[in-house]
Amino acid sequence: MSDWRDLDGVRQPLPLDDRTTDRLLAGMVDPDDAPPGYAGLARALGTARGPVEAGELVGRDRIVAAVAAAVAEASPPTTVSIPLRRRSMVSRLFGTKVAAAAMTTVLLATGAAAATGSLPGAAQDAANAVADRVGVTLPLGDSTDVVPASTQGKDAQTARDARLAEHDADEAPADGSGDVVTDPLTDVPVVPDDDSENGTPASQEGVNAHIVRDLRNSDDPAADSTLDWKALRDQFHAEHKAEHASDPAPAADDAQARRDEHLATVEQEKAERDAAKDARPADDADDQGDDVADDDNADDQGDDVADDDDADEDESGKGQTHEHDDDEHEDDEADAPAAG
Amino acid sequence: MSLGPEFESVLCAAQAGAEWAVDVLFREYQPALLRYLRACEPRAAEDLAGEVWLALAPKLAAFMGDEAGFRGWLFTVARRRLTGYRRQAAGRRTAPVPGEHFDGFAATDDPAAEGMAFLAAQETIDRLVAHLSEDQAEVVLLRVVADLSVTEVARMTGRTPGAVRVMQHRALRKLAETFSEEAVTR
Repeated sequence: MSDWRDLDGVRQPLPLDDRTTDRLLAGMVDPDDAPPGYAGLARALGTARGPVEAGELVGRDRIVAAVAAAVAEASPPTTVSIPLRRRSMVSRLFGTKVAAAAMTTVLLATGAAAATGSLPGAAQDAANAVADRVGVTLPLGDSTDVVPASTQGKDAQTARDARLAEHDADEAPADGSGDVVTDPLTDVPVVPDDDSENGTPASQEGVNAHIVRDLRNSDDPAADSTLDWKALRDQFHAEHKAEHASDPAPAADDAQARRDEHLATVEQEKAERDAAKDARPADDADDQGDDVADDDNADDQGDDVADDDDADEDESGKGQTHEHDDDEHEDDEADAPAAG
Repeated sequence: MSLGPEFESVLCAAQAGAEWAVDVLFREYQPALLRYLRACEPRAAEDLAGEVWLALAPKLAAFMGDEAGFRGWLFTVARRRLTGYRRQAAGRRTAPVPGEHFDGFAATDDPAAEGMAFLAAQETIDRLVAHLSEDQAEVVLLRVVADLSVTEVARMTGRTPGAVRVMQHRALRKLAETFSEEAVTR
């Protein structure tokens, strides 16, 4: 018989309880006190948990410095940063609301002052120009007492008055040439509707066109920005009304004179034809073969009438259109019974 | 491998950016961290250890817990870094130790005891895990080298504590057979 220790390879280490296992793994079991079969393992585990060896702290200074710097850089104190961030958010929202309320108040106050005409002259003019573009009428400001900064030392109002006064001496080109003018109120291109006799604009668009053309020909860069369209328009109408009141030769009187002259010419030709008819019997008795010549005379008379019409056109057609001539003939026909 | 009562004050100083406190933590935990990483990936252990410390640094101020919790956090980060490295490199679990490496430790009288006496810590660890499966080696390393509890190991590895206990029992019995003085003597 052999001892049980001779059964090599058959013996197995005894199973361990949990407490012994934990102590063994923690290196708390001395190899001499280890359970049977676990002495070598206890020694190996103790060696594995041994003290620090050479080479295990390589790069210590570099890694420690990097970690310390990263910690200091990326870690503000949490207990302090949260309240500060909340206060900052509240103050920022409060500040934004206050700024918005102040801006609204300033805008409302400026609008109210502009609506009541309480702004200073230049500011009121600017507000008026802006309001005109959106179709709102505001009271006019007194811009003469305050010189706008944009005029750079020039009295813009005085310059506009002077240009409007000079406008009386200017005549619009008859062929409509020149710059394309747009209505400042509607930005629509405007064809000047001038009176053919004296260049006076006959419609509102004509007035606006004249004003715009005058100001665009000027050298004042601030004229457009400080322009008071309604005031200039009213002033322009008033000046031209006074001019027409003092005009000694109205256009209607000239047309009447031309009609009287034309009627006198027609009367004279008629009298000459009657005199020629009275003398014709004597000519027939003398020469029966002059019928052709008489016809020629008749044709000549017709030609004379036609020539008179051409003469009328030449006299009255200076710078005028055929439409105007037709109107004159119609007037002649309408006035003929009364004139006859 | 424990700071004991001093851990709390050292941690507070380290969270404020004190370099001396970081140095204390490094000297305390770097050897175990390096041994664990060397047992798993010997070629990249030093680099992975540095990455672990730098990964902990930005979040160190927000850490709340005791020393065991800090150790568990440290090795959790190390394990994730190790997993990422292995996924990228598709490396092997451990570096195999050639048999000739242990020839010099053989002796006639008590070769096992004498050999164990001269083995360094890392070499012993390498021998331990070389005889275990991957899961068993991981459990033993975390329990021995990282000095983590069964609960911590179960949480890190995604297993139940009972499964971890069963696994460590089997591993110890297998290692006991391997390192048995009687078996070596024969």
